Amino acid sequence: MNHEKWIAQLSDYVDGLLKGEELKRFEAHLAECEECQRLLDNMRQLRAKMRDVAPGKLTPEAKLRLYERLNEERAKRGEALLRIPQALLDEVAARAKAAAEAAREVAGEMTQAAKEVASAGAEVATTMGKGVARTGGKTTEVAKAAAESAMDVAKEMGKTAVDVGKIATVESAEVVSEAVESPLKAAATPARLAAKGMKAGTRMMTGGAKTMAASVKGAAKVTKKGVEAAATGALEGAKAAKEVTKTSKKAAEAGASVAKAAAKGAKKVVKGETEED
Amino acid sequence: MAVSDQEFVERLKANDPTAYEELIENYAEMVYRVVYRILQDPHDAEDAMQETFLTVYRRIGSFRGGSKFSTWLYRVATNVALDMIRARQRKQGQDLSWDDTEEEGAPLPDTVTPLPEEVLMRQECIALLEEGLQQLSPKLRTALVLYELEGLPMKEVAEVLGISPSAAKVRVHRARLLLQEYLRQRVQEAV
Repeated sequence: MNHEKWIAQLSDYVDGLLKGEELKRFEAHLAECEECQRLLDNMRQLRAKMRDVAPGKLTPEAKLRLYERLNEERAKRGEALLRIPQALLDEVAARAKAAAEAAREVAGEMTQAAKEVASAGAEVATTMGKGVARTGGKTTEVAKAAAESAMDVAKEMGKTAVDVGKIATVESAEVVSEAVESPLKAAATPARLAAKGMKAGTRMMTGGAKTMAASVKGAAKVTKKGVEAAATGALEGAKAAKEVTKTSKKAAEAGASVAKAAAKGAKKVVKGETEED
Repeated sequence: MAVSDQEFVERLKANDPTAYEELIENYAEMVYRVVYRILQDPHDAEDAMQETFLTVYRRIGSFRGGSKFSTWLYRVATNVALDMIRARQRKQGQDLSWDDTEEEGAPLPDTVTPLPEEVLMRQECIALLEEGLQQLSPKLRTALVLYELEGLPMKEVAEVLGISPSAAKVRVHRARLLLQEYLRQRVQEAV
């Protein structure tokens, strides 16, 4: 018997499918063949490891949607609807609430981030005002860098707030109006709102991360320009300081309105309010 | 078919809503798990799960009781999942022959290098196994999932797949060897 045949019998041996003479012959071969012994060990260990492979979890929301889908089909045929277990509805509602709270927490963090942007802008203005007398020169470039970075950050935060607001209002509105039109869909509303809330929360967190990245990038740019300005020592004094102050004020205002929008968006996710509200 | 199975099927055929509620409560996790392992995408898996239960609802009349109800359900679920893969491949203009070498009678590899012990002990072994499962053809992956992960006896795997027990054995064996080979190659690439 060639080796290919022994390898072909490995699986059967591992699965306990070899019997009688076939089993005796295989075990006799195994006793003398190191390669087959190692392959056998591999196969047994792989089998054990396979049980740790992720099975894929059926979420409560997916189970609720399954009930809903079957009920849609049954309703079309005029058949009695399935009763959705109260425990499932409670679980989905609890998860929706948790998702909304997470979105609100992220909005809170963005408010804090906006305040820090404003404060950083003001510090830049103070530093530049002091530095102008000593360095002058390329202070306009520093001011420009500070202004650009503050506006980048404000823009990023603004975009995120708009995204979040849009998701929270338009998509929640769709879900709520569907629930009003269709009692069947009303049962799944908590699941859908939870999904929307989670989407909003994710977007907020992504936006928060982008904002922080923009802030770090901006700060590095400003520092670099500041060092260059100190090195050259040219003087354009009061004009540069005025520019920086004006920019910082703009950044602070932008940050504040972004924070307001984000908080409003989070509120809508929590309450599931429509655009008309 | 067991008496309790028989009664349950009769209630499903009679369209008893409580029977369908029991169907979801007792089998939704299992169906989702199987189709997820075949499709390996949560959105596709949810679609396949819904389609499976809809098929049961529409076609329970065709179930004759020649096998266990769960075997029939596995069959519906795997067919739905495999149909989704076929449709996906057709859309992508891919070859639909699905690896004819895996069937009974096709030659198995004549040399397989054993894996070093430490490979199987590594933490990333599970991630590599998941990747390896994705690389298998749908037919081999399905046979392996049903046998190793769902723990069905080989005879039942064959019934679910609509093939002979020896063909089912060949698919499982081939899948195991290919997985082993995949792990070995990935580990070698990393060195």
